[in-house]
Amino acid sequence: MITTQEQAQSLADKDFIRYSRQIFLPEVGEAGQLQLKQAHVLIVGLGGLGQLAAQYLACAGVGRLTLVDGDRVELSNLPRQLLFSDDDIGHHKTHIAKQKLAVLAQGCEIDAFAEHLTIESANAVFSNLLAHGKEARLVLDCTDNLMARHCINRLSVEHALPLVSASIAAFNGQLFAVDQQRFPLGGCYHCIFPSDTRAPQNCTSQGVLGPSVGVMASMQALLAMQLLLLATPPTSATEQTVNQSFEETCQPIASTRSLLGRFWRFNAKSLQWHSAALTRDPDCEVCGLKPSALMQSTTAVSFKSVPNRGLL
Amino acid sequence: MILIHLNNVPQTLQQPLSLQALLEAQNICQHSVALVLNEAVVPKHRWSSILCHHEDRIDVFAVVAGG
Repeated sequence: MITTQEQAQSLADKDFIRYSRQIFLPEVGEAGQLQLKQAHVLIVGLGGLGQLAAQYLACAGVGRLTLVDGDRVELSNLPRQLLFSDDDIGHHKTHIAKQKLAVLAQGCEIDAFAEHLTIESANAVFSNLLAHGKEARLVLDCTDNLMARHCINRLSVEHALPLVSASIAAFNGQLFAVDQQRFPLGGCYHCIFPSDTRAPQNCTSQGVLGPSVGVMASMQALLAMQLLLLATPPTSATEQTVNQSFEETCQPIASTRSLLGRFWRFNAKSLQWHSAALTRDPDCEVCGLKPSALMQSTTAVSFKSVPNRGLL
Repeated sequence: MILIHLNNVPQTLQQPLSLQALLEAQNICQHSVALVLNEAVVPKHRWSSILCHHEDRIDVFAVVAGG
């Protein structure tokens, strides 16, 4: 079905050819490709996960990426972080990624923050994410430590943004997607891993094989693309009706219900996946509190706006 | 007697244990693991109030934070 919005916009001929293998999928089509073009994805962490997810999303036609990482390229990154090469060693990952992605995906606008996500820097990063009108927004957590993961989760909950989180260490990968607006029953990162959780593994101390990182990053990017394609414009009832009938007609690959609120584990030795349903913890101090209480909480980071979370 | 499957290994319990008591009995540190009971994640707050049932499938795994 063609919406008013889609009638007003169509892809340039060259873009139609570039993205033809995606557009040929009835689940994507020209309308889906335009949805990707109007999307804005925040990628925090440009290690093995983030550098690959960024390439997939930029080259798939996502319109805008915000990249956040304070690290510089190191020699030991190169076996698995294939966007970078020897000449890049010592340079900020975000700067190199922005340069290379500008060549790979000219249609993608890229904002780069060459700093680690901290409570201080997060305001600027999330303001940037929220600054560009009516885009479909999504956050990818590609970081390598629990503190950053909790910070990103809290911000995603406060700003009612869907979060797709992947991680890998040694031969163990984990992946999940949560969205407080579309599926609040799935809870958040804090519901499964509360603040007192200790991580026994990371790539630095445990080691990792490049392709296993690539598997997790690919799944993360695939999950993100599907959620963007299934995104309902957050506006009028008319548009939502149109979107519903689009889903019914084209039978999307998966419903948001089967993608949101699920937790996948990958065993990179046996190549086996296990999935489980995520469960919201009613006592969760991050997604279980009302926004007003969240703002007053001593453990909460301070942020100005809490959009309607459709949750409480 | 109750039969459960803990990380795919059959175990027999003489009496019903809570999930928390089960982890304690197995010497599993609760601060570094998540728990899936019959394909649904159980938030840590509820581990002490849920009892193991016959044929429960319980997966316990460490948080992975690397990337």
